[in-house]
Amino acid sequence: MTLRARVRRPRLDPAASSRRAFLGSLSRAGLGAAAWLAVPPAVRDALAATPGAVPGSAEPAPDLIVRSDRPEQWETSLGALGRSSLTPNALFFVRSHFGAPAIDAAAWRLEIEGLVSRGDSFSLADLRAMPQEERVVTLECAGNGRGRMPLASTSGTQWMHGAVGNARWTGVPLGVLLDRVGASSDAKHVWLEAADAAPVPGVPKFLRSLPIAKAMDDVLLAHTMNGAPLPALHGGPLRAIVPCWYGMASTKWITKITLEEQPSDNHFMTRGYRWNAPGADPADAAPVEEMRVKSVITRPLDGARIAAGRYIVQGFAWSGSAGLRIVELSLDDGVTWSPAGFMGDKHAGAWRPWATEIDLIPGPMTLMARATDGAGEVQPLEPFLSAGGYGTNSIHRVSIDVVA
Amino acid sequence: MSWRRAAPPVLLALALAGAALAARGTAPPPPVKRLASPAAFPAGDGSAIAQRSCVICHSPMLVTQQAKDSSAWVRTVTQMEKWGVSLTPEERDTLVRWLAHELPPKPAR
Repeated sequence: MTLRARVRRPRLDPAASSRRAFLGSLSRAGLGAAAWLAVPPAVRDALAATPGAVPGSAEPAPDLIVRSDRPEQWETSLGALGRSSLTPNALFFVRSHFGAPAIDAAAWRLEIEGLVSRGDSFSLADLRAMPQEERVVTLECAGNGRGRMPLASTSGTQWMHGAVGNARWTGVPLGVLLDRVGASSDAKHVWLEAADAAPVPGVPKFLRSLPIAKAMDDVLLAHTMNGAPLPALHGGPLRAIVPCWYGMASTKWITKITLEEQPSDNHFMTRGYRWNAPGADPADAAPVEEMRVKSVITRPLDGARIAAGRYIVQGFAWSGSAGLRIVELSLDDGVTWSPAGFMGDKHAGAWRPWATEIDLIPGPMTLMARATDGAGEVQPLEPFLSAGGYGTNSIHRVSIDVVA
Repeated sequence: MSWRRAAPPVLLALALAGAALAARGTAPPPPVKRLASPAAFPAGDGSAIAQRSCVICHSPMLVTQQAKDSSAWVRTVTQMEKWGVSLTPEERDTLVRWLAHELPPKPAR
């Protein structure tokens, strides 16, 4: 079989002294230098850099794909997504069930009640005065890729690849707050109630609950996104950030937290966000929680015409709590795979940029990228089918035309 | 395209690096499709019913991007009725038939 292109082996470039700090961070992350030396220093440095805070916007930025204008369902184009490891606020995908509610941040308070010894309410200033934590976390909508599913019955926003983004979130660890109010040992679930609501009363409000262990150890109540006050479209003034779980868990516009013995019986817990197969009852299926291992190619873009020669392929990969083991690229329809190099620092719950260099030979060509998580789970060739259109993580294919 | 005019430093660095490696540049990628589905309902006898019943809560876009068979549309309309949409039996039949005809299943992408 004739290959249209081949993946180049990583090459050592000892001259780049400016990358020493970066090498150090990779070593601390447990990665060998060879894992990223396939990438030229200029590209690596560009991806390692983080853009400044971009204020949120009530209007979709030009590179957002509007899948619904009311409520706002905005998808980030892959070209825009690939520009930086931290997704600017104005380019971050928007997903909401009922649209951003009007909230006066100065008058806003967070109530905490239920199985606690000291029920209380807190202003934004109260929360900012508590111990703060900053985390880089990737959020992916559970329905990201629903538009790629070959189902005749799946409702919901037909996202393709870009209902995912990565940001630096700042806020109070939920565990700190729960300690402050004296969470009872009987409390097994933490209910997060949001302020958004449908215009008609019969539609259930959005409410999600989290198991107490996850809530105590690994959830942030964020008021800041990439250094800026959390924009209203992204859940401001306060949202949950639940690392490694799909985005529905990261409840936006939180107004009340209730500690309970049982998980919530809200529609969006018992009917929505379940792993039921087509035709099966969601009540009998496991809840959607951890993100499945996934990768996207952000360079080149599908349909591009590219000159023959050496070319850098780039993308992002992420997974749930198992972390990432490897990202591989195939140029021969999955017959052979070659590893790409990870770039930038490693953060639990955050995606990792990857890149590799290839030689392009004139003609049509399809690139495929697949990631494997730390538990050995590999992205499948075909979409995973769930009735709700959740968790699509089939291998991303990008077809290009290479010209002489 | 606008993103090229407003290229941030990261993009510039990437573009420079790419250009240095590939002696000849690349053609612009396909443009982003801004509105992913029609912002108005398709014509037909169900259009006015949908306009009256659906847009209270959401844009027609949320409907026009769906691609479902008749039984799936029945499930959707039933869910909406449970949540407060009021339809006569005749309106319900017309709406489901129109949705299934105008927004049928599409091949996988």
